Amino acid sequence: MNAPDTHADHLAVVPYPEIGDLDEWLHAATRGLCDAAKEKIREEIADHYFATVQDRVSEGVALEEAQLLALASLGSPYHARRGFKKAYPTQAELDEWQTSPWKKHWWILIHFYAFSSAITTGYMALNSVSPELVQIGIGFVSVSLVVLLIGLMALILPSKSMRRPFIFRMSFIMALLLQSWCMALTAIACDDYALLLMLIVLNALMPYGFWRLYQQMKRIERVASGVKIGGLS
Amino acid sequence: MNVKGTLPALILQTLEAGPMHGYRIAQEIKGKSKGVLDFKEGTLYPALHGQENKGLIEAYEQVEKGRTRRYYRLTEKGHKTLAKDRAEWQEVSAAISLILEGA
Repeated sequence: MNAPDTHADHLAVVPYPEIGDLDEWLHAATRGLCDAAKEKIREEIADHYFATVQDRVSEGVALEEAQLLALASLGSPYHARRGFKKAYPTQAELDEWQTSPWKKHWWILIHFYAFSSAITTGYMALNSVSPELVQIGIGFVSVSLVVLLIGLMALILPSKSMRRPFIFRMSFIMALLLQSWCMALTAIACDDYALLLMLIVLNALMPYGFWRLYQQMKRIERVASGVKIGGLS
Repeated sequence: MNVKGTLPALILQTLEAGPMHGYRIAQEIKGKSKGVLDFKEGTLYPALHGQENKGLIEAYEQVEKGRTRRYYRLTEKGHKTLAKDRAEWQEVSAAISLILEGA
């Protein structure tokens, strides 16, 4: 429906008493985002806000009320922030990226993760279909587990703090992978096919994690390298 | 009416008419739907930037009345996505109409 026309209506549609003006709205909407993104978003939304105020004033609305209505029309800054976080990395992620030795070769890690996950899933599937081929699977597991541990060390060593979101997410995925390896190893002795099937299905969900990670890395890389993205250049 | 989920397609459709800045896009969507399709304008920009990341639209800056504004225009990929979205919407819309009109 159309924007409300009275001050009372405005008060009814602003459920965020802590957001009193445009600066507070922008602060809440861009909190945590990288500085370059913050600046561009602030410029663009401020322009939008002032255009709305100008239109309202030209319709005969008092300036103060026009400002309140323009703020109300922007809606929730927290909702907007969730959307911006999908488009831009946070400053913490960007800082982490700048010091990461993997910044030019991150795709190797992603492919390694994906390969590792495919091997464990394949191994469990092989074990469920043909247990006599398990010996072949054990060979795969032994070699790949060593590679996985090397990758895990390479990932953790450069991090200065596990509290950083980028490393946390990467480590989370590594933990999931490690868990899937453990499941694959225990599958050797598993004769419950229903349980085995469930483990295979769980493991097969890993590609979704890789896809999200891939998207996140692309966002960070684009912004860090100055490639035009979301109005950044 | 909540346009959540359909906002990206509405943006592409609006930009088919030519390059526009964010404020104009919001006004066009509300105006063409005669105010039925309403959305909080703060959600427009995450959607715009997300579509730009996907390569569906591209941004450029232009000075207008002494101030620099960011304009958006459709890319080739955006035109193709719009055609696909429009076909899907017509198919779904026709199916829902058949059901509702038969009720």
